[in-house]
Amino acid sequence: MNISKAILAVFTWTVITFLIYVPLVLVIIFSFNDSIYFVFPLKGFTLKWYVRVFEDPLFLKSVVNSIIVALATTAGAILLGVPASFSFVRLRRNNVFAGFIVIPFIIPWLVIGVSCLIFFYTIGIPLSLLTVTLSHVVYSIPLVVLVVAARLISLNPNYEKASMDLGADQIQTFINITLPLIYPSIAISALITFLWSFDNFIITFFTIGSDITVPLWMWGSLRRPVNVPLVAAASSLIIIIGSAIVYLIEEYRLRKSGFLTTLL
Amino acid sequence: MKTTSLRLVNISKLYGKIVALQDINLEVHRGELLTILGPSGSGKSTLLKIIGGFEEPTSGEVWINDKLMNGVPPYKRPTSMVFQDLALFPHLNVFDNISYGLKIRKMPINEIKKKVRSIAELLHIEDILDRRITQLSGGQAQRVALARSLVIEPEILLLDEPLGPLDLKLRREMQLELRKIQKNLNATWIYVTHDHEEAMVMSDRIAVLKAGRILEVGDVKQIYEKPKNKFVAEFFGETNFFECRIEKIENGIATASCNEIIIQFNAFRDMKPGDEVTLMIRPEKIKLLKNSPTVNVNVAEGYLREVVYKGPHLDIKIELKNSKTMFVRSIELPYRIGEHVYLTWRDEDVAVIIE
Amino acid sequence: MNRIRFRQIRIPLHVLYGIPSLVYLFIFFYIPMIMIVVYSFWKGGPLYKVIRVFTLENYVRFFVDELSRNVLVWTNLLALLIFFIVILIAYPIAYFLARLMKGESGLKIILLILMPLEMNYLIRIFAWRNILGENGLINNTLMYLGVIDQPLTMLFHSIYAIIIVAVHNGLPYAIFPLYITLRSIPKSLYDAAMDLGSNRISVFFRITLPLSMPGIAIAFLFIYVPMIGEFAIPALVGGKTYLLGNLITRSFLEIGNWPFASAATMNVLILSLIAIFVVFKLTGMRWLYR
Repeated sequence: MNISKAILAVFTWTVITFLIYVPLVLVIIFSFNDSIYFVFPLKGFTLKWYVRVFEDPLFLKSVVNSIIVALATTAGAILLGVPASFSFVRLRRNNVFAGFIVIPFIIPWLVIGVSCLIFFYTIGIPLSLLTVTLSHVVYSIPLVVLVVAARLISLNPNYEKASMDLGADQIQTFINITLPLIYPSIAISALITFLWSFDNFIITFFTIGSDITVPLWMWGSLRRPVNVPLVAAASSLIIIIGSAIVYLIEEYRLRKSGFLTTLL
Repeated sequence: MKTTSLRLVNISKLYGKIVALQDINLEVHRGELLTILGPSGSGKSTLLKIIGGFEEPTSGEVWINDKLMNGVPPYKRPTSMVFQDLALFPHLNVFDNISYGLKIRKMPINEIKKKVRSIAELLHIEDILDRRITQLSGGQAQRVALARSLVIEPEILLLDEPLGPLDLKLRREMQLELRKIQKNLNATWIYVTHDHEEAMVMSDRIAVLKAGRILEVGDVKQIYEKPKNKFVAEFFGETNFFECRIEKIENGIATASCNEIIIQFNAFRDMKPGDEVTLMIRPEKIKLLKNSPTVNVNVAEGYLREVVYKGPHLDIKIELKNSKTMFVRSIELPYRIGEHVYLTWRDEDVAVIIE
Repeated sequence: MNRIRFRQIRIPLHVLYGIPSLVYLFIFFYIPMIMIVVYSFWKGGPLYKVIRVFTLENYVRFFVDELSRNVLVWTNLLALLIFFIVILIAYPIAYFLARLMKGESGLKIILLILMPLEMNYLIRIFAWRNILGENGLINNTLMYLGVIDQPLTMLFHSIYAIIIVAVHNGLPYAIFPLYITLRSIPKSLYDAAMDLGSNRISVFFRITLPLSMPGIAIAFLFIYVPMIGEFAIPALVGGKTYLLGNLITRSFLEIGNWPFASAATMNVLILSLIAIFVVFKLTGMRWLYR
C-alpha cells in the first residue's frame, strides 16, 4: 500500500515537473541567455532581449492592440453575459436555451474563427480589431454566463426572500443583497475574459486581417530564428505577470469557484 | 450454551493524541442483536469500523469465531456492514447491487438469481430489482442495502445507524421488521445508534458507549430499569437520583436516608450500614397520591409545579419540601398545578447507581 | 408578475435578461454557422472563386480524394491517441491527489497543475521547441556530451512532437475533472465494495473506474474536441504533419477555396457536436455550472 502510494507520488511530481513546468522554466532561463540558440552550457547572462523586445515597434503596437481588444471584449461580455446569467439560472434545464448559450463555448475555436471570417467577409465588414472583438465576445458570453451562474445557483435563495420579507423591493434587494454576493464572480469572469482575449490566437488569427496582437506577433516571430529570443523575453514577461495574477485569484478559485472558473 | 461470535479484547484506538476508543472488552453471542448505544462522538462508528476491518485498532484484539482478525482486510472478514449512508453503488441497479458480493465470489449466475430473489422476497423488494438506485425511496434503499449485506450470509452483520434519515413512522416500522428478520434468521447483528428508544425496541443487549469507553453492557430491561451507571441512567431519559446513606440492612432490604426521604431497596451483598449510595427511580415507577400513605418509607411530598402533555403520557415536575425537583410520568393527572401531593414507589423499582 | 407587456405578448423578466445575449450569439455565431453550411454546398475553385450552385462535391472529396480522407482519418486517430495517452498519465495522478492525499492538500497541487493553463498556448508550444528543436536542449546536450554529432530530427518537426505538446496541453484538462469526480465518490462506496468481498483491484474496476466515467467524458470534451480543430501545434512543431486544422487554414487563407474549407470545417463542427451530445447525454450539463 505505502509502496504504491510512494510510486504514485513520484510519478505525479515527475509529470508535474518535467511535462508541465520544466518547459516554462526553460523559456525564462533562455530569455536571459546570451545566444539565439538554446545551448547548454549557457553563454552568459544578458538583458538585451528584454531591451530589444521593448524597442520592437511591432511588439509595442501588438501589446496596445491586445489590451484594446481584451478590454472591449471584457466590457461586451460582461454587459451581455451578466444579465443572461440570470436567465440561465432560471432556464438551465431548458436544453434548447442552455445549449444555445453553451455551444459556442465548447466548439473548437477554429470553427468560431472561420465562421466569423466568412460572415464578416460576406456582409462586407473589413477585418480589423473590431471584428476580432466581435468574434471574441461570442466565446466570452457563455464564459461569463457560466461563471456567474455557478455563483448564482450556489446562492441561498432565502437571502433574497429574507430581504424582500424585510421590506426591500426587487431593485433594492438586487443592489443590497444579490449584487454584493455575486460581485466576486463577475470580477473573476471579467479577469478570465480579459486574460483569455489577450492571449487568444486562433480566433484572432482568422478575424484580424492585417493588424497585429501579441499572440500574432509571437506567431510571426517564431518563424524567424533571429526573433526567437525576443519571443522568449516576451513570453517570460507574460509568464511572470500571468503567474502573479493567477496567484491573486487563487484564493477565490480555491474556495468559491465553480467547476469552470477553475478550469479556465 | 451460548457460543461467542465476536470477542473484543482491550481494543484501543488513537488518532494522534486523540483517544477514540479505550480498553473496549465486549463479547457478542451467536444469534443475538447487540446495540452499541452512545451520543455522537462516543466512538461507536469507529468501533464498528474496527470490527468490519475498515480501521485497525491501535492496540487490542478482534476475534471472530475464535479467529484473530487483526490485519485481515474487510474482504476476507466474515462480516458485512450496512453503512450509515447505505453506500449503494449508484452505477448499478438494485439487482446488481444485491448480487455484487455473490458475483465477486464467482457464484454461478443461476444460483445468484435464486439467492437474490429469496432475499428480495424476505425484504419485500422483489418488484424493484431492475430499478436504478436513484429511483428508490428512503425505505426501499434501506431494504436494498440490507439485502446486499444479508445475501452473502455474513457471520456478523454490522449496522451503522441505517435508519437515521427515515421519518419517524417508517423508522418505527423498520425497527420492528429488522428485529423480526434478525430473529427469523437467528443471525448475529451489531447495531449502532444514538437513539435509546430504538436501542430498546431492537436489542437483546445494549452496550452504552461514552467518550470511547463502554460504561455498561446488559440486557434491555436491566439496563433501563437497573442501570449501574449514572450516565446510562440519564441517557434513557430524565430520571430521579438520590444521594443517600445506608442506615440499616435487614433480610436483604436496605434502608437509606436521603435528605429527609427514606428509601428501602434490595441490598447488594457487600453493602453495609454507613455506606454512601446513589439511588435512582424512573419517573413512571412513581405514583401520585392525594392523601398521606400509612407508611413513611418510600414516600416523598411536594407541590405540583409543571405539567407537559406528551400525548400517551404526562411529564410532571414536583417540587419537594427540600426544594428539590422530582420527575413523575403518569397516564392521567387528577390534580391541579400547585396542589400538595404525595409520591410513592416500590422497593424493587429502586436502582443502585455504582458509578 | 414581473413581466413587461409588449402589446399582447407577455415576456417573463428572467427571459428578457437573456435576449441581448441570444440576439448577439444568433448574429455572430449562429448566422455565421449557417453561412458555413451554405458555403459548404456551393461549388468552389481556387483563388476565392465561388460558384453559387448546389453541389455535394466538397463532402464527396473527403470520401474520394485520398489526401483529404487521410487527413480526416489521421486527425481523428491522432486526437483519440492523444486523449488516451493523457488519460493514462492523468488518471494515476488524479487518483493519487484525490484518494491518497489527506484532506484538501491535493487541491493545492491541482492548482499548481492548472496554473500553466493561464499561459498563452503559443508560449507553451514555444517552450517545447526549446527542448525538442534542432537547436533545442536535447539535441544540444547530446551533442555536447558527444553522444551524437548530427542533431536528431525525429524529435522535432514530427508527429511525436505534436503528441508531446498536445499531451502537455491536455494534462490539466484531464487531471482536474478526474480529481473532482474521484473526490465526489463517497468513501463508504469503496468500503462497501471491500466489505462485500472485493479486493483493491476489483474495487478499482467495478467501482472507481465506472464512477469516474463522467470525469473521463469531460476530459474527452476538453482534449479531443480542440485537437480535431488544432492547427498551431502541427504548424509550429509538426514538420510535414498536416491535420484537419491545417487543411482548413490553408484552404481558407492560402488556396482560397472557401466552399471546400467550409465543408472541412463542417467535419470539425459535426464531430464536435457529436462528441458534445454524447458527453452531455452521459454526464448531464450540470458540471458546467457547478
